[in-house]
Amino acid sequence: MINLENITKVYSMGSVEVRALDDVSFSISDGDYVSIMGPSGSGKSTLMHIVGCLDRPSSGRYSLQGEDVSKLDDTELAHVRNKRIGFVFQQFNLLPRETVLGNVEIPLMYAGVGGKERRRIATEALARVGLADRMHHRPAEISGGQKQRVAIARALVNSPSLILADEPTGNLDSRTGGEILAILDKLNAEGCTIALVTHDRSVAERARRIVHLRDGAVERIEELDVERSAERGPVRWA
Amino acid sequence: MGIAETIGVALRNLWANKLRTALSVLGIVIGVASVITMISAGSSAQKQITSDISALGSNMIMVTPNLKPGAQGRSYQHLLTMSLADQIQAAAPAISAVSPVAQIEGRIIAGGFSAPSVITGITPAYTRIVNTRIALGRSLIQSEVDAAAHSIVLGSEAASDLFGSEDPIGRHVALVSGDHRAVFTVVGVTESKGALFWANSDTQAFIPVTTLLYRMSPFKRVGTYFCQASSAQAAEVAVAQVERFLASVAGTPDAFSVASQASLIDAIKQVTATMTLLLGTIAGISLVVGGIGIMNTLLTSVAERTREIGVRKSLGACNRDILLQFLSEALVLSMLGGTVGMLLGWLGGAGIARIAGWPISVDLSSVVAAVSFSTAVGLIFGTYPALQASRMDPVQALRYE
Ligand SMILES: Nc1ncnc2c1ncn2[C@@H]1O[C@H](COP(=O)(O)OP(=O)(O)O)[C@@H](O)[C@H]1O
Ligand SMILES: [Mg+2]
Repeated sequence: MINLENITKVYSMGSVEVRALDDVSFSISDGDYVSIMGPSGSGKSTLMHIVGCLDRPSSGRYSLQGEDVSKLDDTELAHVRNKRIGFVFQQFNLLPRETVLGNVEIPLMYAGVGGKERRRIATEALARVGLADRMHHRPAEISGGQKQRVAIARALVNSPSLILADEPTGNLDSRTGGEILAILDKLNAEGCTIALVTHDRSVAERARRIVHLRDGAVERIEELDVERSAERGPVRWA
Repeated sequence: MGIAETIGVALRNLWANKLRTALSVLGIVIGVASVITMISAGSSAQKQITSDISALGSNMIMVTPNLKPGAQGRSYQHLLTMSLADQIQAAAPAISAVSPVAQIEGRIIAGGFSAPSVITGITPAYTRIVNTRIALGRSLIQSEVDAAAHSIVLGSEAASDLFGSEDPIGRHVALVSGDHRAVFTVVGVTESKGALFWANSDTQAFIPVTTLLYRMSPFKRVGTYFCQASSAQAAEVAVAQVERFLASVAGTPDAFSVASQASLIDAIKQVTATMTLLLGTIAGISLVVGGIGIMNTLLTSVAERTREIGVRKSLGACNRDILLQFLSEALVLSMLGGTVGMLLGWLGGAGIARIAGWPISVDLSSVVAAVSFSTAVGLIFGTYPALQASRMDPVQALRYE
């Protein structure tokens, strides 16, 4: 479903050029679970932004479900992000003034879903991540793990086919981080394609494959053996 | 995203920064309030002046000799005769009544009391033309004019100054003006009309114009001809007829000025409209200052919410959604200010009218003005910050700390 060919991203800061991505090519098929690993500054986030249609590559071809998205305009890209992609960030990125429910409703609002329906879908998504009882709290009133679950519920409401998680456990202790990863496992089991950025080997091993980045280039792609992936154990919701 | 949701988000954001919201609304409140105060005070003043002019008489046309002599230095004093009144009446079919009028200053003396007064020489038509009502006795009659009789009608205030609560009818008063002194019999007292512009008819005294010209004044010339058009619609035609006649008599159109009440009202309206526009423009400057306040608030808000903008874009907001969100915040701010400012402006206008003794005027044009001014200010000063927000690069915005 995702096909990257010779993707390059260059940031020019005055006279200095930073090659954040340098000739990156790989593909992710439907229902796949891919980890992206690499040291800090190796271009992981930049890659996620391009895959997530938040940014355009300087050169190269990116096709999403057969469609060349490097040619879409701002509004079309916004539409793709809204309907087909769910983001989960390391810093959670919940809007502090909205309630938990309000935050989860945002992608539905931009999709033009009416008030009642919006509330129903958002409530359902919150129930899926085990937060039905925190709907009317503000983000400041819940824990980090709960915030990340709200973010996952928010990423899910428009039923995207692709979930992009940029260090989703980076700000969490290992136990709550494990809970978040369990939710991602479950989503993958239900057919969602997942790309996850991490620099933690044990987190990366939840996936089927690991793309190793170094200095903006793909160093190697590691296929994890299926049995190890199967050892992840029973999936638990929250 | 729908309009209702956009406005909902705007309201929540404004509510979250109550003090900042209140302060930036205050700028617009002051601007709109001062504009509306000026507009409504202006229209109060105009109403007062218009009603004053209407009270001067009904369908009145004033014929006054121009003070400056004509182009060749000729004087037209010799034209100002009693008979000119009859000639005007005969020559202008749209004129239903004409009264020659002359005035002198003097004193009225009765018993031990003396009151300064303007003494106005009139004919019976005058009372009708200027809508004077008689409170006691009667008005002057034609035979008194024909005979240059020593009959006098006192203004209400002159009567009470001289006679207090006693009945003045049939009593004698002495008029003194310059070297002239004559005794008159009081035949009537007018109803109070109050002061209109420079003249207060309540302190005046009215005598037959012939008596004034031939027995009290050295000049023997009529000062003004008070004419009455047969109807309000006929006023314009009447003015033209009178002008044409007088031009033929004097040999030039410059000798007399012929002004109808309506033209007087129009002229005054123009003056007050200009004044209102001037004051309103000055007040409008404070509205611009208010708009700059809104812009400042919005720019701060955009900068503070950079990350929020990035998050919203990552969740599918397109540039238009962000633009409308910030623009609707600007509009909510400015229209809230507009509404409060309009109410305060009405109070301000009513206050000024009350102090000045004008009728209080709350007209629809001020509502239209308040709504359109504040909407315009919101749009003008909100567009730049909103555009800035909508054009933010989502990745940069998300990285913003
Ligand atoms: N807006 C930018 N301007 C200039 N350089 C940038 C910008 N964004 C990222 N970079 C650079 O690109 C490289 C990759 O960054 P990033 O993708 O955030 O790395 P990672 O997520 O792997 O830590 C870094 O060297 C970073 O400094
Ligand atoms: Mg990163």
